[in-house]
Amino acid sequence: MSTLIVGFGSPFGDDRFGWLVIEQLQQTLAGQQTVKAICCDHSGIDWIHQYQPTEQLIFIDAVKSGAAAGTLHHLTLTPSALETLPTSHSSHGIGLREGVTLAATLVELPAEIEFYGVEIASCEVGTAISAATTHQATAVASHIKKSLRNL
Amino acid sequence: MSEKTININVPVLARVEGEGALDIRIENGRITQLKLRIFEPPRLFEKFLEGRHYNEVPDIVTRICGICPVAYQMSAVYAFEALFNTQITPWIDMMRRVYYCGEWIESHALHIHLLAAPDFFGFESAPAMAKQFPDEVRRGLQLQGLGNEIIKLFGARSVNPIGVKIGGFHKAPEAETVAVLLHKLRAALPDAKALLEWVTTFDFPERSQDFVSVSLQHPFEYPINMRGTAIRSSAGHKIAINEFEAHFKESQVPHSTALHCHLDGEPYLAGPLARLNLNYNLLHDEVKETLGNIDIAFPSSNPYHNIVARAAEVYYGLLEAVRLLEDYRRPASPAVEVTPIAGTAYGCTEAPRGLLWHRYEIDDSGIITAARLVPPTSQNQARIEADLRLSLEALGLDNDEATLRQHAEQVIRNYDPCISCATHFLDLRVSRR
Repeated sequence: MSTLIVGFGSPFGDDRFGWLVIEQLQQTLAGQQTVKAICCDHSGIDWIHQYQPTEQLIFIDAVKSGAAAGTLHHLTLTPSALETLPTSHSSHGIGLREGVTLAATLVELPAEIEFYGVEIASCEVGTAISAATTHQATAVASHIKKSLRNL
Repeated sequence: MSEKTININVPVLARVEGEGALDIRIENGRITQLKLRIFEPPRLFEKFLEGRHYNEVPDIVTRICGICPVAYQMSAVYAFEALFNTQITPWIDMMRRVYYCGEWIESHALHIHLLAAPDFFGFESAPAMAKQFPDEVRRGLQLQGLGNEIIKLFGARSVNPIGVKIGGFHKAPEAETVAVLLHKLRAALPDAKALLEWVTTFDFPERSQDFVSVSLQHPFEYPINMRGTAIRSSAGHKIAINEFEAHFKESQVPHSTALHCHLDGEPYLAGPLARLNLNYNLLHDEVKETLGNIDIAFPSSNPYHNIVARAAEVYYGLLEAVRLLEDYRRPASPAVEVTPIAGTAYGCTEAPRGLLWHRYEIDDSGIITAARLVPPTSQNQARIEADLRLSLEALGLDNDEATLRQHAEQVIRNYDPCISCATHFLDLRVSRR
């Protein structure tokens, strides 16, 4: 089974978490035909045209849920659960929720989507990613690499 | 005499690219007051630029817009290079054009498929439209993705790209990378043509409005970048970039934090339809052939044809990127040396939504002492209000509020203002007497 891994984020502070995980995965996975790891850097829809039906889907994003900063979230969600996320704060209001809703009308999504998130404190313009979030990104990339080897 | 007021609440919407609302008062079957309210707080970017070195400007202005960062960078770099008498190489000029085509493709494809097209079929959202038009929406997302890939090629990333400097680029793409992308761009040409053909089948309301179109004009290229251009209008204006302020005046209106811009005191249209109206003959033959097979004549006085112009520019942008990348050679250097001088720098390019004009004052140390940026949304705001008045009266003011609101939203979205996100949630207050 092939896999599409999507890191959502922006260049700002700890919101870069998803991109950092993807960058680490891309270094390891270069040349692999069955795994695609992409950064989604514009809106929540940029991954849709790269998704092929029957692919396993993994999303990585920064999270603000009220938990302590640095907390890792590893969830398995149905697409319909993602469609109930709050309204997006992304460009043109098209974020993860809107992307999944649109994708569900265009392609057959897997029954479950694996989600990795890290709780972040802030993502202000001009700030760098924190050491704690960088550490968690490395941990998540390592975990994903290991789980892909076990497939 | 009775008064009926209806309020439709705006849902909570944070960190979007703008927030807008519309107030209309109808008295005795006539619109007596119409205000497109933009209440997003001022962002003060012009003040942020003061005290910064000119070299920092491309990386600062790229942050102004998540959808058209390339336009902000290009208006800035051409401004400084004009002041410094910098002679860029043909390679730099061509690759900037490719870079800009990427932005037109991604911005227009996003607007057509996710924001504007659902209006023409009566759908409330893009996902709703996608159920009936899955292939068309999928094709649109692929085109948008290609536009983003072009931006990434030169800017390292498609959101707030960082590959541009005064004098050129920080890095030239590898020939192998360009070859892979070029293959994808060529393969997508039939999709871009099909998109244009699809859009021309939409059911456009019959509207003919008297407005002035304004865009850059170049002797032999469809206008994108500044080199060799002047500002032209359908009323006969020919205005040098550095004479912009003598003709275009921005003014504050009480109901908007965005300034209204007028040309010699009158509203005007900037953006894809204005560009197409003034530069139709400079489109590639393939685009003109496709447009020649439809029942729309250009120049067009129907603002609803903006979406056709947008689709035409997606096709044009793809053809142009292919043409310019066909014989790609990696240069010895992606930039030329720059020797700064103090003075006033003027720049203007064609952002996806229209003219984007910049002026910078810099001192002997290369520090910005003053900056002024005039974005397309400011320029189109007065025209949008004029269009709303005409379109709603043409529709019939005795329609119910829901119909008036839907129609007003569609009129506003035709212009693809940077408050598009907010106008999806237009707070329409109709007061009838």
